Amino acid sequence: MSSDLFLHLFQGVDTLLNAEPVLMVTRIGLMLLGMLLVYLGRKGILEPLLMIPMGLGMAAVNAGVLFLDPTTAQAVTETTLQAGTKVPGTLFVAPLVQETSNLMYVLQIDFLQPIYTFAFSNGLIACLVFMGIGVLLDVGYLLARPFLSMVLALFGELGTIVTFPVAHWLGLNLGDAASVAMVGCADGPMVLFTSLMLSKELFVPITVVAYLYLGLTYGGYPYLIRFLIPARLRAIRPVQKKAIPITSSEKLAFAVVACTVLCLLFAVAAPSSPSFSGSQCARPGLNISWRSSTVHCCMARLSSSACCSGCFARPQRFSILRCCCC
Amino acid sequence: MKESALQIALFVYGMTAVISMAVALLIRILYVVVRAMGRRKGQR
Repeated sequence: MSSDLFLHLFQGVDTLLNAEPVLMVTRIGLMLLGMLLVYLGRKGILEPLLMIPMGLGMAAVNAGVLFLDPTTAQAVTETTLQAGTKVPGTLFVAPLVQETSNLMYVLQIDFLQPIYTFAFSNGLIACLVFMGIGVLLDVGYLLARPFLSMVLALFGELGTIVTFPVAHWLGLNLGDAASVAMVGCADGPMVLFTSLMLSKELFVPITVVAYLYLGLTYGGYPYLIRFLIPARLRAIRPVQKKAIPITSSEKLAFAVVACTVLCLLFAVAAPSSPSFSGSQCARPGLNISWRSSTVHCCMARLSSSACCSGCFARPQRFSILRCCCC
Repeated sequence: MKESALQIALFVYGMTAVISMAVALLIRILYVVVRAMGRRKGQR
């Protein structure tokens, strides 16, 4: 009786003891691995920004497993369960829920579900990443040396191109292989987005492997370079070429033209192009009066997005414009 | 005809390379045009 009460009170322990031995060992192993990642991140051996939250999440999500109540279990599994069936789960996120009613239910239960549903599933996170990249990135080098920049980018893409046929050869279908191959060149959110689009079933393993890979690469990178490149080649000093000055007007012209051409060519990725170019325009180098007002910038972008030809060509719009002019 | 994964990868990479070089050329042309416009404005 007392042990039942104990297990009822401490559900993480209850699910751990009731799990199959393999699952129990895996959960304990992942908790320890999470703690190790936090330690390595704190020591600076691995990328701390990535590894500390990931390790913490890994330890927490494997510790915080409980037996879900019947309604939640039914919503998460999306199947009709028999009475008395115990379904272990967490209150973090349920990435595989698809049906609208179940999704609405899970949104009120799992604390990370709103972020997952409203940021990852619709690609908003990709736009936010592009906004961040746009603010940090100086396109001056690309404008000064476009061919060299493109060749570097092409070599950067090789990871994906090589991985794709290898993954397919190992037995994955084309969608799964493409999702796995994206780890080879893209950043985390891009990998997650591709996985959601092409291979939903592999979303969780790809997420874990991608972030582990990204984190571990930082740690292993110096050793990998030493292993692959001989010391005499590493000792060669790069030739410092004369810097070509690029004015802020040229950068602005590039942002506008690049955004328009990219949207024209790749309409499916159109939201990410203005995210990138808009942030480029808001860089401190461009002395634009509205650059300090992020809200103003977002409102301007929203209103301009509403000015699509389909909406703008209606006769009522011209009446409104005439009224405004008067 | 069903393409193999290797063919798809090579096609995608080839297209990426061509588009990248075209974009690089476009950037170079745009850069020259914008710079020339800036010089002409400066001469006035």
